[in-house]
Amino acid sequence: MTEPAAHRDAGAFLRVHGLVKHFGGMRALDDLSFSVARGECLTLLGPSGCGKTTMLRCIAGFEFPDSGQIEIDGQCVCDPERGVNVLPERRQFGMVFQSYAVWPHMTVEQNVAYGLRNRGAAKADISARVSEVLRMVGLAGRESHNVTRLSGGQQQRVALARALVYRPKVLLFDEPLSNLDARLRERMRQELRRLHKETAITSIYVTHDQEEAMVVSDRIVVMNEGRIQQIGSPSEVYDRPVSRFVADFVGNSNILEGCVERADAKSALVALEGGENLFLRCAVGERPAPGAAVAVSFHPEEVHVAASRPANAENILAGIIVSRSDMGGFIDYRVRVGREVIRVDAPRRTQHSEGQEVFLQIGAESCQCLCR
Amino acid sequence: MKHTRALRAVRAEEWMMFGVALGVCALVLALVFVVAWQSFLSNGWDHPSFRGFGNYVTTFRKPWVQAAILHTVSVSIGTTAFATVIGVSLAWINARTNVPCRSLLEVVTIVPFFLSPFVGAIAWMYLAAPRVGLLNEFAHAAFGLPLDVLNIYGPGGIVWVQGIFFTPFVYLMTIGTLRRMDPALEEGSRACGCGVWTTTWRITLPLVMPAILSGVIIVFAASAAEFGVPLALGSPYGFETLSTEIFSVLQRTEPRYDMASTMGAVLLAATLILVLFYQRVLRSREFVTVSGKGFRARAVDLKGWRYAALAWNLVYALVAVVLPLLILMIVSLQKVWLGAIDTSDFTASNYRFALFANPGTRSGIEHSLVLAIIGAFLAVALSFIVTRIIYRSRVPGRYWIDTITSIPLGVPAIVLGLGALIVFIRTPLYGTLSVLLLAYIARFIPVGQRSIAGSLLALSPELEESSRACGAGWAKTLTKVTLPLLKPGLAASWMLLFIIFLRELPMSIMLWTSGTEVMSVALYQMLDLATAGEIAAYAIIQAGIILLVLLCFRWTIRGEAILEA
Repeated sequence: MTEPAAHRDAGAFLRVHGLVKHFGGMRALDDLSFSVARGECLTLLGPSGCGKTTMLRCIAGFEFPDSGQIEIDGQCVCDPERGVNVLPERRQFGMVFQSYAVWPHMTVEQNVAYGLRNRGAAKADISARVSEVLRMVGLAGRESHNVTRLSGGQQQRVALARALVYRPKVLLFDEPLSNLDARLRERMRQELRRLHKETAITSIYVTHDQEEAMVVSDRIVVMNEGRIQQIGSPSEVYDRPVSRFVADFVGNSNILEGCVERADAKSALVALEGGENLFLRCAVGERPAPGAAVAVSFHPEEVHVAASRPANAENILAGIIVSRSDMGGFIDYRVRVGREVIRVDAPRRTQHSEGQEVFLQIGAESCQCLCR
Repeated sequence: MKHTRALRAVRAEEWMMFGVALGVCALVLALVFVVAWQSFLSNGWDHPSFRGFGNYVTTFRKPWVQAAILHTVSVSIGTTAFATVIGVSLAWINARTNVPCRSLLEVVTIVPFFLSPFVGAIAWMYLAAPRVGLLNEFAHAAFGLPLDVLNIYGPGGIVWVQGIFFTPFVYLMTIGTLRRMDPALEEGSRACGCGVWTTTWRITLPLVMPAILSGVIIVFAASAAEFGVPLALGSPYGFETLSTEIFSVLQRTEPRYDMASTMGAVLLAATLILVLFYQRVLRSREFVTVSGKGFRARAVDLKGWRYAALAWNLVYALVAVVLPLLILMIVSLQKVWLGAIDTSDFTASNYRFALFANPGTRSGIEHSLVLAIIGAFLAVALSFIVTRIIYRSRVPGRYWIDTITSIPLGVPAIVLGLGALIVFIRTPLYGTLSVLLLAYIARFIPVGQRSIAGSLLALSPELEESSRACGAGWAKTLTKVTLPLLKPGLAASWMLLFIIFLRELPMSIMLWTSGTEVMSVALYQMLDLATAGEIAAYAIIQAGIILLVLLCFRWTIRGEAILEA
């Protein structure tokens, strides 16, 4: 018997321990454990079907796991082994859904006040709280508006206000910005970050958009196929992915297969499989065994591209540009190196053309060595 | 182990609704199985012996039973061909062409769907009976044709009336698909250099083929099960179908439950197989038409032909709605009907008779209204519960509840009525309106279920979940969020069920006793006893109530809600 969950990680406000959930024969959640500190915003990030929404719905009480425990503010809300399953309405959380889920038959005020009325708040209190929260989300003075007349972004703000108004213990976000257009999404995630800082409500945020995860969260849990791949701050997850999946999904990285030629405590020289005499030196956490099969990952924006070979420098790969796309903020080159095609995001001022021979330089500290 | 954990996730309110759904399933299964079971027993309640397939052998050796089967099949083939040609052509005209007055035509074309085919048959008696039919009189006076040039009695007349009234089935199924079809499918063909007509023939028609086929199946099953029309136009003249024979063997001095249930079981098996097949076709249809984007396909320009299309549509409206209602109105105002309109003889006495003077017809109206109002409420509530269990719960066995509650779609009403009679005749419930109520609900629960499923599935579960998150329990969520949002859908289902219950004939005629007569039964009895004017007045009252309710609910009527019935 391991020690009870309560004794570990004493600072945690919300704790998930050993959660398992099957849908038919499929393992949707595979022994998930993590915890969230009071006032922290944690993001569950992963591709669709990775179990992140199921996880969130287990916390909310809309799904019931097969085993494991969930604890909110010291209270166990869900433990199938002991038959504990607190009703959703008793768990004191607020939730913002992808579909907004504002009630079309109620006004803005009725939508927002709903949770307060259910909790038997006083009338004067309700209207004060409602207008305060509407001001916070930028909808001041819209109390009597019909929600169906509001734009998608405004509806999402109503949903946010509705979840914030009764000062829940935890705020749950289920891909709240996925239905908004790109520009609005960018603005909203800044605002969500600001609101989180203002209110300091412990939040769990589910998204498949890594940029969004980077902006809104204090920590990110990267998930795939029902398992946790990596937990860390946005920069940790982005800069030091622990697996090929994380490197690809979060960093959109180039991933090249290879094997360790030689290594010391800080770096390793990796011979790439994509061609003859292609070597990259990369940073390592601990020294890998020579000959070990590994992969090297680096971000497209960390590649420096030049028309002539830089003198006296390490980590140079020669290649041919196979395509060039002007993305507005940068130029996206695809460069063939041996049998691999490497994506390079270069500044606009670079003026290489398709078919041209170029030299790619990647700093050793930007290269991550991933074990297979 | 895994199973018990899944059970633990089911909440108390779900168990409650599950219990109700199980009750509905039990009722449906009992009424259906009892017919099958009875078909293996000898006649009589006291000491029935098990006869195996003995009843089948004796019943189907009888020449009149063989004739009834032949009649049923031939009338169904005729009806199906008729309804399909008219229904598909009207659907295409209204969905895809620039026919004038389209919005009006769309409304008029589905009106027969709500009116009772039985009443339609009576109306057509006054229009096309030999000698006394108005159209015969007209043909005689205008063109010197013999007075019996039209004869509504017999197979031709049955096909005619059933065809008219089942046309909306095909029409609604086809028009839905035509409307939801992605115009890009047709535009792609145009881009490939095919003209309008080639595209219609080679692209549009094959794409709606599954919809047409499902319409064909449903109409065939419905006409094989149809009772009122052959009862009015066939039985009195010796042309019996299986459904009218089921009824008539029970009218003998010694009712033949063995024969009735044997014929019922065969009819049931046939229609059930058709409906199962229909559901398969429907499922395959789902991915053929790319849908849900809310576009309206571009209309085909018919040029001068648009007036021909309009005329075609108007002719249908004329024979299906205008003429029947008009003739009933005229006859109902006439003291004596001799096949000619006599405005000097107009009177309201027929209405006085039907509404006040005659206790039988008056209590028929009362009973029908009570059954329709209360029954529709009950059926909507039960349908809502069943639908929730099927689509929004974690209860194991949801699939079976769905399957069982769809069975009545394939059960002819006359057979279900027979089942209810066998089940309830030996209980104290027999002789009360509640027997009719239970039978109505059992037969039409799938209609309610399907029409509510449409609105429920359109309602995101997140709307309810956010209410739970806001601290509301399930009951509060139901009353504050779910029901208000579903109101239009529930109202449409209520209306549909009200109309169906108000005009119901086959089950009522099996189950009524003196003191529980309903409108259609009273109307049937009037055919022998009352004057034409009184019959017409009573028929108009029924049609009038239906049209009034339709008018009140106009805002909630959506094609989809109707389609599923």
